[in-house]
Amino acid sequence: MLDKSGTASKSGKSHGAPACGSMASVCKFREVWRSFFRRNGSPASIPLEMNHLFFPFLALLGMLTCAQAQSALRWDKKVIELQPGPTEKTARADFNFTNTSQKPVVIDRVKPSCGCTTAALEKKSYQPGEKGHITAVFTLGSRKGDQAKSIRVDVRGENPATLLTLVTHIGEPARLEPSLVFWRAGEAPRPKTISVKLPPGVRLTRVSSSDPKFATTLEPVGEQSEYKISVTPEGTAKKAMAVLNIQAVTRSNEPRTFQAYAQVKGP
Amino acid sequence: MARLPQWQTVLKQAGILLLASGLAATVAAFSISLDGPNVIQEGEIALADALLRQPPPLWIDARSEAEYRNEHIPGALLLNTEEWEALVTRVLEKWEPERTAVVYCSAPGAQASREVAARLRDFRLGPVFVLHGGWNVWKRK
Repeated sequence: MLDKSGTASKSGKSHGAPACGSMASVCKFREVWRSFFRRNGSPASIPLEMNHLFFPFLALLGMLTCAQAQSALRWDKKVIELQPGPTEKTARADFNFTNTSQKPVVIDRVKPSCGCTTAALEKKSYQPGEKGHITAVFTLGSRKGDQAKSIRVDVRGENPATLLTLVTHIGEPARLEPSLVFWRAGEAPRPKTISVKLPPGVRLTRVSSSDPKFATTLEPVGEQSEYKISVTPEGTAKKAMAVLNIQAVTRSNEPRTFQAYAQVKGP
Repeated sequence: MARLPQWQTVLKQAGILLLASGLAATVAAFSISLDGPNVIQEGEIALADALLRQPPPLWIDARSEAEYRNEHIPGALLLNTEEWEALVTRVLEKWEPERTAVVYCSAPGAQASREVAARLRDFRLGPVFVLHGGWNVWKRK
């Protein structure tokens, strides 16, 4: 489970108190365990003598909690959420950590889950008490919606690896329905329409076609952020394709460009 | 019935616990593989079904360019969200109306395939599926 606060080692210690505490607390814990099963059925009435499961249970609990508590690096945050602005092309986050152990720590590898994300580490070895950070940069590309990219951090002598997560909330730039208009070969070259719905405050300014064989007209519809683009091919006898560049500006006058496509399909 | 000494009982109980956890792990391993859940999700297609489609599907490789160049399904076209604008026109040139497109990637949750498939569906050219199990299933074929 991902720890949003980045304090996995601390929580591991608190849960591990019965396993790592003094002998007296272990005996007390055993008494509680025994009394629970005495209340819920005598050893003779149940096939497995549950009071004898105490030590295996304690060993399992100890293994689980001690495995968590062993991590030498304490992370300020293991999950970072970002909301890039409309003109930003990347989302960048620093995952800060501290070596809380008494020994130097070596980070063997940092590996992002996707080619769209890079993870950079200043150096590999960190002395006790030393701080460091991993810089993650996620290239937004033409992605939309919520994106979660993970970075696996392999610390020498530690298993399992630590997982860092960069969550990026990318606003829906524009809704184009459909994002392609096409005509079959020989079909009547009648206009076809693309509906454009923009986020509030974004205004559509211009539509241009990469191929002059496709004519475009732009028309606002009802509300301020809805438009209709009409596309008409010169003819449908030959294959053709155009990229329709749809230009818009945000409330703060930042330019945005969206793409739609027009195509005459071959026979 | 004669009672076992306490240490033997402890060993017996530990053995039962290990067996139970082993059984649970085996069940989990069969139901959740590295390629994701074994149940076909909405919008996915099994490789066997994809191969039976007529006309044959248009294969779309949603992995990185380096992975694509290394090896890909014969005839597959590269298309990922990093270089969408540069790559999508080639896909549109090859994709005939009503032809099924099947997208694959190598990510365990098929995240890249799902993103690419969602955007391809916006074109409304034909059915778009994500290959269940992705590239690994093709490699094991």
